[in-house]
Amino acid sequence: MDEFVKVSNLVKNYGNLCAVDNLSFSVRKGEIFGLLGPNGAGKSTTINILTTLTEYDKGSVSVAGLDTVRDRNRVKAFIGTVPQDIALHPFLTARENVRFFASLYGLKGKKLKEEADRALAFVGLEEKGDVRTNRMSGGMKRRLNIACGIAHRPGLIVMDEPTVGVDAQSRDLILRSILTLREEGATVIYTSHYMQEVEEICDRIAIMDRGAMVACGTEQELVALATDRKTYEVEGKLPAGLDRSGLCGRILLLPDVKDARFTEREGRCVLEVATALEFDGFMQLLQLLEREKVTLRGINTREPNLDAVFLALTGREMG
Amino acid sequence: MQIFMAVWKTFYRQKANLFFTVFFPSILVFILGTLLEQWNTAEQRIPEIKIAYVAEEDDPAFLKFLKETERQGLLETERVQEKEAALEKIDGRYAAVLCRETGGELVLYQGADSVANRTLQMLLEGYSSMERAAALSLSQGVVPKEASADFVTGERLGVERSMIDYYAVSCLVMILFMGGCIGGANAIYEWKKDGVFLRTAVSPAEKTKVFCMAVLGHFPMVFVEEAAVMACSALLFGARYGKGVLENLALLLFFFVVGITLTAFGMAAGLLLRCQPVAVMMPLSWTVLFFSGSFAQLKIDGITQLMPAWYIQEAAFDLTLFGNYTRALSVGGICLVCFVALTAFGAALFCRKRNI
Repeated sequence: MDEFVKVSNLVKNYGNLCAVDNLSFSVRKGEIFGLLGPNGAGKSTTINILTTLTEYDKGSVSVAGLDTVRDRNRVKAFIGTVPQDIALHPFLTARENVRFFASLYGLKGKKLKEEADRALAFVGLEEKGDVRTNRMSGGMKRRLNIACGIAHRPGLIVMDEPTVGVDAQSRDLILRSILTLREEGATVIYTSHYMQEVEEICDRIAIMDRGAMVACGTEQELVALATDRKTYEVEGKLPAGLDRSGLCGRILLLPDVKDARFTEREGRCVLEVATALEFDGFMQLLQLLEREKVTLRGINTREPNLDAVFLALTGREMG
Repeated sequence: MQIFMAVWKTFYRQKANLFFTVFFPSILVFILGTLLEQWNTAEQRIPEIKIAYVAEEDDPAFLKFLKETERQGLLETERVQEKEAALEKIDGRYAAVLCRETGGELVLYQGADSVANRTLQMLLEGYSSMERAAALSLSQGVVPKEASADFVTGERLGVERSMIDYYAVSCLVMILFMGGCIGGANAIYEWKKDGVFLRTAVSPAEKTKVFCMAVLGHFPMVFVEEAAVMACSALLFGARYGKGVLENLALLLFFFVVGITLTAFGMAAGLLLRCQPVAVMMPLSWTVLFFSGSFAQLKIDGITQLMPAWYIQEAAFDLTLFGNYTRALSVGGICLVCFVALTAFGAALFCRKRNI
């Protein structure tokens, strides 16, 4: 089936607070689905409902065709959770932690030991298997946190901000591990504050705000919702007597160029060239500038990101 | 098995646990037993009691009674012929004068020493009751059997105990209460705090089984705790528990049952508490122990006897001092029932809780 996870008209209230407001989305099998939004958007509540930790008021949620209420235990066996807060026994070793949590999913004996070792190797902790958790660094704990969630080879892995507070090396390792999980056929739901991560690894992204879905799609689809252009900022030395408006006019003649203007920025003269998102005439632009005897010092590309998307769609910054 | 091992390993890998459940109680037994030994004395000293008595030769039971009391060191007696002369020496040479009057009545002429008077009254009441019972039996034609034993069996309690022995038992009860209630509740609190509860909640594992295994995981701790304290206090400080191996094994088993029951209580309570367990369990345990007369001379009729710790202590003292198993069996049986009920209750709570 294509829709591995299906959320339909989901509603969850905490008293007068509407945490999830008529939310609908689906996740395809084998994709990495990003859930993005500011604090209080309802991401964690949605995650908790998906993992059967929290009940919902209205709507329906299904995983692999199983309803999360009627078939709760069968759904739980499918899901691996990597919670936002590190959830580990501090006085057990890495290996003992993985074995403990994997045993909750029915693994035992030789298979338990093998899968625990595999999970540790997957996150790069195979040599730290006998180290107690309370003696590990934050990055190692985060990786172990992941290992505990995937040891039983779940079909759906739900990761709630798995890279919070980790060093760059651990973060890279975590992101590469997630990509590997996808290659192995797992479906991943990934929430994060870090847009760069979401942009980097997610196949599709859902943006939430105040409990509701703002937009959902690939990064390109989302960006297209907010804006239809990107901007090149060219800094350079202009030849004496250059006709600036004439130059802008000639740049405008290039295909997919929407605007060209000179601006002053901190005492420097910057040429801003706004193009369509699909503009591929960058070399032509450079050649034109060369012909006009502009000495280039630097070119900066300002492409719209999800921040801009959120701002365009909600009128607020993601924060 | 993973759950069982995790609970056990979490316990013994924390040095604080080992200190507070093994070393500290053993030292406490020693400190309380030696320091307080001098403080726990009677309010009044029973003086040496010398009495004069007047009796006929054909009153063998009475004479034998007096002789035996003197042999046991309870009284010093002097037989006199003249009652009047002896009466003049009361509060001087004699504390009291005891006479078998005409008609067979025993009369005690008391002095001013109230402690001596109370002591003598108690002794004589016992003897008088026995005399009346014997007379009644004879009047009804019941011929008493010839007994080889004396009327007053010269048997001491046979128990010599010190304050260390008392506090050894008291401290064990204290440890079981604190360790069980606080330790059990803390185990659940740690599971919540460390996120273990969360992972367990989202897993398909049978929650009842998980909780029961967590309770079972505390069994080795309870056993090690009490065995270590008993061994340390006995070997290092000379504390005495039961008289023989059997009594000591029975005591070990009894305390084990008590310990696991209190642990189950602590774990069930831990599921209900929303704060640090120590904040609730510590004052609760101390209050129960205090009003049980463990560490204070406080004994309030009607309240002390309601305290579970009091029953446990009394049962333990019965077993250690007198080798009497009855109370230990009944208290242990009640504890077992409570253990099952508390574990079932805790498991039901654990199943219902889906979030921290």
